Amino acid sequence: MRILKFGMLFICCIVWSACSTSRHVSGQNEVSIKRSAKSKKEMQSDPDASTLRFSLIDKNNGTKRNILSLIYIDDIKFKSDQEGNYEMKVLPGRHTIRINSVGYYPEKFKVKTQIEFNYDITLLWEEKSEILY
Amino acid sequence: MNKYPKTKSLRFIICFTLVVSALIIHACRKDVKNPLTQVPQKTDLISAASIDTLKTIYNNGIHSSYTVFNEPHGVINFINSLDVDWNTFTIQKRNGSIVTEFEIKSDTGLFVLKKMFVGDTVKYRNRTTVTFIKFKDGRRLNFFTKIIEDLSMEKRRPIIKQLHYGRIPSAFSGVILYYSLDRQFINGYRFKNGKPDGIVSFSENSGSQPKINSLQTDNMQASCTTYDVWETYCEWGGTVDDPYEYFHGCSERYLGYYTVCEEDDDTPVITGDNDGGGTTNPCSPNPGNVTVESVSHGKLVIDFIPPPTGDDGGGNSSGSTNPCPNDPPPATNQEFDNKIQDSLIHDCLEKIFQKIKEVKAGNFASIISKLSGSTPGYDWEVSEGALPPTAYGNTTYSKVTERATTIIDFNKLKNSTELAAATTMIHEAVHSFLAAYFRNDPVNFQKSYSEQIDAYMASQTENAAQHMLMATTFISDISAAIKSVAQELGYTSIDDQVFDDMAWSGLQGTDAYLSLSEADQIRIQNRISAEINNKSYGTEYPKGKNLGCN
Repeated sequence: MRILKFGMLFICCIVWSACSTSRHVSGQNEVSIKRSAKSKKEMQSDPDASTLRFSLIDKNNGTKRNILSLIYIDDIKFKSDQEGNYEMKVLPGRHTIRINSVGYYPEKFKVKTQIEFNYDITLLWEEKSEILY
Repeated sequence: MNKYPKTKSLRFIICFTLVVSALIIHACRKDVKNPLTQVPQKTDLISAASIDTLKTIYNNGIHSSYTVFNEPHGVINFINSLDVDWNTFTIQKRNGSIVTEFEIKSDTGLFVLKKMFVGDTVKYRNRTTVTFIKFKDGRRLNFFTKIIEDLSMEKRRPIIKQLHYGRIPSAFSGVILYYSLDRQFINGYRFKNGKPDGIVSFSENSGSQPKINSLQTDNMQASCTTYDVWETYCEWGGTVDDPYEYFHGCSERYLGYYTVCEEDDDTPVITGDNDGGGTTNPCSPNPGNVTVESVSHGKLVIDFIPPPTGDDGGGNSSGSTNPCPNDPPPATNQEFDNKIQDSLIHDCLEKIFQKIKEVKAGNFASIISKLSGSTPGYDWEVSEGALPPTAYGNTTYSKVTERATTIIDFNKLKNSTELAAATTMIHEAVHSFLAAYFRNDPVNFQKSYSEQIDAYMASQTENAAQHMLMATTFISDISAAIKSVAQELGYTSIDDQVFDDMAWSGLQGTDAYLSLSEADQIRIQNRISAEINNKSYGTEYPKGKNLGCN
């Protein structure tokens, strides 16, 4: 039984460790959410809020292109900078993220934030080959 | 009694734990697949319509006249199969031309340059391609290439697949022959280690054994050798890597001979300085900056294409040889720029398109200038093809090829007026420009359309976004462009209201259009319908003439 418990604990540790970065593929896009512990300074200055940092990468060539995009966090619209980056502070909890841009497949996903962590969200974004009439 | 099962259980738990751990690590691994290693799956290097155009050219070319196998003058026709693999092609984008090369499937048996005996290793490889070159001035050059690789000189691996028009690998030895689409021999060259070292001809001299002559004409010395050629229909065996390793023997046919004339080292065998379009023979291209992309069986493959053999085997002539057009077609538009690839087939559309490219004033002139300039990402291709029922033209933009491709549906426009056709092409030109601008220069795009950018970004589709932008920002430019083209076509007394109304073609779903008065909307819709269908609608009757070609 001890060994069994040890095994289960071992699995739990691995799950916790391995899944601190989560990745999900939805349709044509891929989203990776990497969690990183907040620094002491961050904890002191803004203890309740986690930072979401977005990187938008063209899936076709892997380059960080200047993708103008609209990012909706819980249906509140924000515009990325001209390099496709965006940084936003959110309170802990579940948040729904939507990312739209002309010429790309829209992406929608959820992220659960915790006080101790910041989140780097990387979207590998697939170009939508749209026919223009 | 109890000990053994416990050990077994323990082993099971350990194994189970390890397996589950491995699965979890694999599933939750932190690395994100490097997209740089992903092979693009897009195959729209050239549009289906462009391939249709090439098919038309090919079918016209191969049926223009047919040369019987072994011509009276002793010319051996190495091109026998006309079955093009339209799914396998290579594109080279050169400074002054675009070269598209397709594979010919199963072109006869194997041509060999020596008589084969049972047990011999077949040291020759054959390949046939058909090449279409479109020059920036509108000329085309289309021909077959027959490659016979000679692997007999020393033990080496076949590299025949790496060879492309104007791109001869330094390790290539053998013969390259060029034939017109009607199978007339154009010219040919022998290569040794990537260097062209002789010109191939088919002389009247008879004899099946090699002959060595010495010609002295003017200051040029040349020694000529004749070589016999057999065609083998045989069976061979070997490994997967080298399926032709052992020749099992079967029927073979002596075809004749060809002559190779070598020249002094001081006399370049290969001359010429243009892209294969010169008038001297032989010709050689100056490939300049060439990008080579291949599609194999419908899949995009980025092959490593060895550079033209220069110092390492090709001399200063780029080491490649090319056929010369004996009778190049006249240039259609001296101002034509290779950034706009015009693949229109019908003259009536081509005539209008030329006028569109010549628009000199207004913002539309800037659009054309951008699309025809050298800015990366702003290439534009216009071709013909069948479109869905309600579409007269459409445009797609590919980031893989960094090219906007417009397709015009001639069958839908053939009963329309010239004004309707011009409007369609102008509308698609604006689509092409906006698609390229947004992707390639988003910073300035945002600045240029700062008032509309939020609405643009929030649009459900790019099509709707662009139509919104056209309706709010480009409507007067489109109208001016239609007017300019119309005047060039001879319509000098049409009221500006006609052009203003035509400019709304395709934009009827926009908020800007819907905000027009009902009377205006009716008039505009009648005008557009009148020009599209070349008949009267309401009070509007067609102002343009029918396109006039079938």
